[in-house]
Amino acid sequence: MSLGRYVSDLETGDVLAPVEYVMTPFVVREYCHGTGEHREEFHRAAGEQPQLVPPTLAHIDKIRLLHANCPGGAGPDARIHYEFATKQHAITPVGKRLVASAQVSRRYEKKDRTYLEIQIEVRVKDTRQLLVTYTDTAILAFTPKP
Amino acid sequence: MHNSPAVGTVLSSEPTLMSRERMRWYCDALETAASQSGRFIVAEPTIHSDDEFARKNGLPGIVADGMLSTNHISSLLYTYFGIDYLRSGALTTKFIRPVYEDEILIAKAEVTATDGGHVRMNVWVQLPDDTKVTVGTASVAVGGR
Repeated sequence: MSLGRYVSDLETGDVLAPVEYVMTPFVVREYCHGTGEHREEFHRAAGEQPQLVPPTLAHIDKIRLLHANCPGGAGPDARIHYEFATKQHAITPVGKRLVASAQVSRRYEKKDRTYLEIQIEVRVKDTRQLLVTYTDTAILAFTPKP
Repeated sequence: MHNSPAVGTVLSSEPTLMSRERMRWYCDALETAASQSGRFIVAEPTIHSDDEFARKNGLPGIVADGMLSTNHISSLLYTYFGIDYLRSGALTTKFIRPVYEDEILIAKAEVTATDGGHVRMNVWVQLPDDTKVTVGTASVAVGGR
């Protein structure tokens, strides 16, 4: 178990403490603003049609989980995002309390770099309905080890 | 909206300039959204927002968060597949080359198969000279399957 300090400390098999949050209209709007997704359906919070959520918003779940489990940050070097892989299992509802959980599935070396693969899933808290599965791979330092 | 494009169809986005501001906006929005406090948060220095920090980490200057490229692809998939993409989409992207300030990005998706109601695609983001910076795959179950 390598939790509680830096992301670079994480090892294969580490189970991150889950995080709970409400998927608020603000979260969706703010994320979509940052990505340049300005279509109205991702920003509306009232009216007959529900506000929609882009699948890429799962990236925030990784950030939440790492903030909660690795409060020291990335570690000695900046973390480089290498691969993003999501599968949407149902439309993510705005206004519901969700739970994101994660496990480190692999830590491995390739071409003198260290890779960290984390598997994340997001569910509705009350019903346990699976919404998103997300595998994230990062390189722990851009510069290869000497 | 084109729910079932034929194999070989190439979907394409409009070109987008990856400006310094867009790189920073994503960093700040990510931290602001993750905090849920409602307060605007300026992200700590990162390789996406601080040249000196980026150079200390072996980069020539700031580079865009790979999720910006991913979001270009995601937005393209929503344009063509609508709610089906939000309900059932699978998207994998691999960041194979850094994106530097003021580079122009174009997202593309080429349909490789349509089977059992699923549309499968190769997806990528490229520069105007066809250099690929992000590559991956996507699939969508069309028609609520």
